[in-house]
Amino acid sequence: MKKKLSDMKPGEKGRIVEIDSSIRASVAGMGIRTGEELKVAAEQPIGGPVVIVVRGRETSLGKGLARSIIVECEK
Amino acid sequence: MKKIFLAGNPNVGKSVLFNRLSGARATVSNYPGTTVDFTKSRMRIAGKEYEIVDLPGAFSLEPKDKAEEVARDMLKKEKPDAVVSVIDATAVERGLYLTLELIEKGYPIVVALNMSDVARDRKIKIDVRKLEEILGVPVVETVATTGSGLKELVSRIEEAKPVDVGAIKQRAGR
Amino acid sequence: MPRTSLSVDERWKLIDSISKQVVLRGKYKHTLKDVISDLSVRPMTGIPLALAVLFGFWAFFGAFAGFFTDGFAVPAFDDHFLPAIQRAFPGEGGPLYWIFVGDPGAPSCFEAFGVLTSGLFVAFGVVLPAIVAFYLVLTILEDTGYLPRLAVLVDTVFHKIGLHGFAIVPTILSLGCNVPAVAASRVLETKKQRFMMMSLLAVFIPCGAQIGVMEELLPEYVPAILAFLFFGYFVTGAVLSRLIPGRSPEILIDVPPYRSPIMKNVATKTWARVSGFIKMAVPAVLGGIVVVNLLYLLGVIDWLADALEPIFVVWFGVPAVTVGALVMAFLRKDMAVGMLGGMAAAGLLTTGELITSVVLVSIYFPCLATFIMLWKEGGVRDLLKSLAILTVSFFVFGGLMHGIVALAGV
Repeated sequence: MKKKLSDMKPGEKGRIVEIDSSIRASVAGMGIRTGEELKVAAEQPIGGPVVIVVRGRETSLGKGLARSIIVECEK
Repeated sequence: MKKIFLAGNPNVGKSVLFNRLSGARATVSNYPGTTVDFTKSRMRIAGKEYEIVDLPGAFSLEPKDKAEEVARDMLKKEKPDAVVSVIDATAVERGLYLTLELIEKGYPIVVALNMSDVARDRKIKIDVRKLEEILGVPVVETVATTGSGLKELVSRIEEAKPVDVGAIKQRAGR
Repeated sequence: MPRTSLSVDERWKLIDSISKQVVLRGKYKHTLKDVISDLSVRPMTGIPLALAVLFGFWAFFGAFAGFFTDGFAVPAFDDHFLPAIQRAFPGEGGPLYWIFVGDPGAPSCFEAFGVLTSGLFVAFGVVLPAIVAFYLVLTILEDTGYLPRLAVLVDTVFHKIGLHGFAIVPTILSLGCNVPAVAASRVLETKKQRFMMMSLLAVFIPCGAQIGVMEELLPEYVPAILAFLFFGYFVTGAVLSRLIPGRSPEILIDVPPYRSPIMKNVATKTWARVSGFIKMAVPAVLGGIVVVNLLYLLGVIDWLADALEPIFVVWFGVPAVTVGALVMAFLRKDMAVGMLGGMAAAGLLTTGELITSVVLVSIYFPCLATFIMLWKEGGVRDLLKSLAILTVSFFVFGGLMHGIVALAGV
């Protein structure tokens, strides 16, 4: 099932299928790109940022950025 | 005087490496937020004096903030004779991203595969020979915190050279 | 040499094919560090942990600084050094005596206000222990990798004022010294964010040296004063974020794995920071006293005090003698608070007036070193804009503090 990264819950895993072109270059250097597997490690309340794990490294990104990333989730 | 730059992602132990190489006292942090400027020092290799510059950590040469901008602008302005691309051995792919950007821009590169001890603990094996062969530039395993591998790194800085990405693609089999 | 440029996707494809050939990942076992890492960014566990860390920071700062200042510096300076130099220095009552020793009858170093008495006491007896304690803990927090996690937890709050969680790093640095903190504002992405950050730091965040002196003078009120200043920081931030045009990008940061700090690195880094601070602060403290004493002797400060008396008494509810401390605050805020403490000890200020005037000193003009840094980082235009923000904040929050003190009946 495809969903936005911002809609995923902590513990959920998936594979990135699409990153909006407006942010693609700025997250690319941090290893966040299409085809990569990720896991949501934590989510802050009231529209706060998410923390994701990509290849064993954690990155935190704001909700708005997370809305621009589409993930194919595992069940 | 010849100039050597240290470039790399934040948190790869770049500042520690810099302090080891320059023999200077640690003035900067290897954690984000505090290394926002470049630091300069001198070092001697085989009797020759070099200027060595520690750039702020960056994930990409397309700057996201002012600290990354400082890194890019320094590279553009100063024309280094060698860039040591410091890669965290536990996150090789991210390090390669910046390294490839540096190679594309035509800088002469040496790769320092730092924190190789942590990588070993994490059961990550890296074929250094093979990486060196594909990239076509020297690749040296280092542990900046203990100083291991630094002698080899220093001795191979002279071998730094620009390489063509097209050739890397071919060697990588693509 | 032909130069090829790759697109983002091409670059990653190449990296993938390289990585497949050279990197082999074995089965990774999760360690205690990974567990703590997860717990420290989940709100349910992370927020209590963050509060515990910050409280621990504060408690250590107070205990360490108090141990050296009250335990050693105060008795050594007040009981032995001060009476000895008051007797030994020639020309009692003359201008040189006033500048170097100060008041010949002063019972404590806070009250004497001479270069060799108050200057040495504040610089080495009060500020030095505070700064050592501060940088020691900061360096440990930094080397373990805790700060980015704190940034994640506080992001929600900072996002509301147009900054993002990473603003906590310059803010904490600023509690040590505003100068490197202003430089650290560079980690923020846009011009709007950097300008807001620098202005808020310069206006509202007191430095470690100043907090150290405050801890010595009115320990029971320091948390309330800091809370008030942070209130001003967020209110002003919210207003600025709406007034200043520009983008406010969201947080996008690397959260590095936890690492055990290496004691040798912590020691060298702490020492580098402390010695850098001493080189900058000590000449400014001592030189500042010379300048302010000269201004007293020339009657400039009394003239200023007379001129400003109506504003000070009516609007801020503090007597005009505090003008002397505000002149000092332009050079060093720690010494300015020390002067206020001397005035309070001599019976010139009530506790309520002391609290208000400490807040005024905090918000008032950044010290000279910060001023120069603002100029360097932002240019003349931004500096002037920051000063305009500062002037408004000074009157608004100074007046507000006056009201709070009056209502609380301190």
